[in-house]
Amino acid sequence: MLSCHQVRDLLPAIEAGEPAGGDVRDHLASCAPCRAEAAATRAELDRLRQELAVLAPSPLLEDRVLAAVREPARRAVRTRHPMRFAMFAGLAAAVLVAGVLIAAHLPEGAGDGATPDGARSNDATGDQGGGEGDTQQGVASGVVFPRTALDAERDRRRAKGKSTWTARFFTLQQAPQIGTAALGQGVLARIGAAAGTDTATRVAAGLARLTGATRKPTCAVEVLHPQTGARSWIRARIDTSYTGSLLLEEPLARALGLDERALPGTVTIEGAARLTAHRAQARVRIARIAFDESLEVQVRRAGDPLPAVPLFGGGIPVKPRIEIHGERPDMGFVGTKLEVHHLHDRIFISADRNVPWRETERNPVVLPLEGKQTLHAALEYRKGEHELCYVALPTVGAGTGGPLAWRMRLERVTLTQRFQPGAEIAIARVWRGANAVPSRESAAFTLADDKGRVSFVHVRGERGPLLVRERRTDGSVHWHTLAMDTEDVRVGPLRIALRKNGTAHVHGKVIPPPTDTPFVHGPQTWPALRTLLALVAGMAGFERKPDGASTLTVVVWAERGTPWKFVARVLMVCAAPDVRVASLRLELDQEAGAVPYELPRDRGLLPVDPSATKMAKLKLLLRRQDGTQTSWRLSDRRAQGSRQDVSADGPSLARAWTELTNRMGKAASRAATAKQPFVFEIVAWSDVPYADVRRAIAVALTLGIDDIRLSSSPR
Amino acid sequence: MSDQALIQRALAGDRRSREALARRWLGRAYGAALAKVRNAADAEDLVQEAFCRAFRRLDQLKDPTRFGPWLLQIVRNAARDLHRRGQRSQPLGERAEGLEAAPEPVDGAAVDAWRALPDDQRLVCWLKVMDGLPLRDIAELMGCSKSTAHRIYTQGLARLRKELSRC
Repeated sequence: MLSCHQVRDLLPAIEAGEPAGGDVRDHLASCAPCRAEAAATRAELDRLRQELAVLAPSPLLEDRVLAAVREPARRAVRTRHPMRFAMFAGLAAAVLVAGVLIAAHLPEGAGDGATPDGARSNDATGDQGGGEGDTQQGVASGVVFPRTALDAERDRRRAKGKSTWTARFFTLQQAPQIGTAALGQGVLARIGAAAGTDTATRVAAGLARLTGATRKPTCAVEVLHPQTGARSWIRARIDTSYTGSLLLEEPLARALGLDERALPGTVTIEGAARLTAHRAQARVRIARIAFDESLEVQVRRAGDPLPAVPLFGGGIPVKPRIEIHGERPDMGFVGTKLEVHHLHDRIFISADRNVPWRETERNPVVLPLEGKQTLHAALEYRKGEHELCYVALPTVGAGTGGPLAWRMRLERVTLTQRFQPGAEIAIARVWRGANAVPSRESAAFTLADDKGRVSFVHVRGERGPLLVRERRTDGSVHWHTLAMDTEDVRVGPLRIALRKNGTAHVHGKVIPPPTDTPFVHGPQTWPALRTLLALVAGMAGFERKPDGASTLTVVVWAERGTPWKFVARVLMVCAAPDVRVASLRLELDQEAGAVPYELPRDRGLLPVDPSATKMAKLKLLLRRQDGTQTSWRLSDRRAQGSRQDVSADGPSLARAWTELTNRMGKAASRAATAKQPFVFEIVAWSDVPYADVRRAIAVALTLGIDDIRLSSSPR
Repeated sequence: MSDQALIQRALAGDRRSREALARRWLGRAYGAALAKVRNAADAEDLVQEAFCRAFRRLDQLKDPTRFGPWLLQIVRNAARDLHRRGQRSQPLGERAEGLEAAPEPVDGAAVDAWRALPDDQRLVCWLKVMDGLPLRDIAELMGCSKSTAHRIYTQGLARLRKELSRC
């Protein structure tokens, strides 16, 4: 007979599907507590399954893997039919040419644009000779299963003062000496052009992997001369160990496939890139690849004349239906610079400025803007649906640049009013109380769906009724006052990256370190950063809280070795009255991805509340002389005013974390026992590494101390 | 059909056998990959890479009855390569901050707790809880005894339950 203990040892396995022996069943039948334990175990396993389901593989994985393992068979077929499966064996490469010809040297005939595309293509491929097949066999389409990530490494040898990123996914058969792709402004592939010339053409290239390409595949890259419009094909190889599809600032997306028997001649790919900054690499993650209608991929024979591919902004060929036009033709919103971001289940494409929107066929959009204003625009594409929304955001500060829309809290608004299909819909006013105000801040772009409804993305927090103008196809104008049915669209926080020299990077904008001294000029200096954060905070939060705090979360990321004084300056700005971030997340170099330490608002060096002086105070002083380790002093000031040095001048903080943690824990326990509120104050000298201060914060948070005050002190 | 038979047919060029073999081991390979990386996307890449490698070298498999452990070792090697590539890379350039994307979606407490487990417990718990693999098969996959696999599983599950009970 099994004991309860023995049975309960077996329960986790049994409840997870292991067969139960007769003795276990007998025991359970006669023992109610063990049955209860079994039920609890079962419930917990169910919960585990439910929560771990987020890690389950995507349905596409099986397709990817199966396509991968089919490859040898396909190769065998190809061997038997070399002409059929020749040249651009199977592959897919996507290229959207947004590029600019940077080298002045063009092949003869390319500059005047008079050379037919076909001829150029033939030249391009004909000189390659001895390749894997005959270009004239053409390229058919195929299923493209990109890997979801592409790693890029920095190549410092080639860069003096400039960052050059090398993505080892691209090697050229024809010009191997420059067979790399550089990640600079987005992803730029520097490739040799046709006919073995030394022409260097910069194209933005994204590469997709044909799953199963276990040998290095050949890829065809289309090169567009932006001035002449001339196009040509070149051959290239892809290192299959680094593949991916990129859509960045000057992106592309055009995939070529292979097995022409398997698929029709035209396929489409929907792709999105998410770029995350890991500590040591840039990683572009493909959020989703599916055959959809977002980005068009066409497969052409190398010698075929190419169709005029509509270029949207930087050159992503998009279906005309997503184009919109502005009410004022002198305003432009979408430019030559596009960035594509994936956020949760949505894709945002943000753009630069000064290229006019074009009129769309069936979804005319009016931008209710007043005055000359430069906007950033964003396009949101909802996965799995043919629904497109646009967001325009007022430019934040001078030259801020960068995509802001996806970092902000947005709301999708649906107006249930049925509009006439084809009518122009404009959000003319947002009512606030009794006043109607221009809706430009709400940045409402509208799109009517097939049912005559309108949805758009709303940036600001107005919740009053909208005044909507409907201009029908017969020219009549109808006005509606409609309520907004909103749905929150999640967005990320604002990230500030700090270098060791104090330079801050926000949204791609480099902000030099402040030159003043906070201890002389007072807090809330660093106007460049403050202005930016104030603007972003004003846009991120729909409404400030009663105490004036915004809803903005700021992530402070700093390189290892960054002095505390620079981080402290950021925190000062975060606590400035016109910023007042909601929360701070502190991240450190090489710990990206770790659980961040998050502080509530106003821990950014605000002056201590006078009433707090009556509170007990646990104070940790971190000091550092040049070339020495950080030392520490922990003092415990009781509310009555007595002071007790718990420890003085710890020799090295690096070896004292355990001791420090224990002492802080005891002090916190004493205060808790005495039911005495207290403040934990961390005072750090300017040159103390940020990492040490951050760890002290972490210790305090771990101990449950959340009333933390931070301050910086000169020596 | 046994792995051995499938491998023989696959080596002879039978595509269906290759696919059947891949389908059979896909879930377990994914579990092994997930035990080595933090997120599903990386794990999927690893699995794809591992299957590419495995089927490219299928003729080098000495003992066809040990296909599973062999495949899982390839997954581990691929994970190690991925990790090395990351270590060789240089710090991110200035431009990258501007392109920083939104943070990862917040995972649940169970995912965090599961990630905190040691590799072997993560693997066993995943295969047992999510795939429902018998402990005997798990033990064979890991090259250990069934009792050892059971111990790893119960320890891992106990830690998961402890973490979850705090939430």
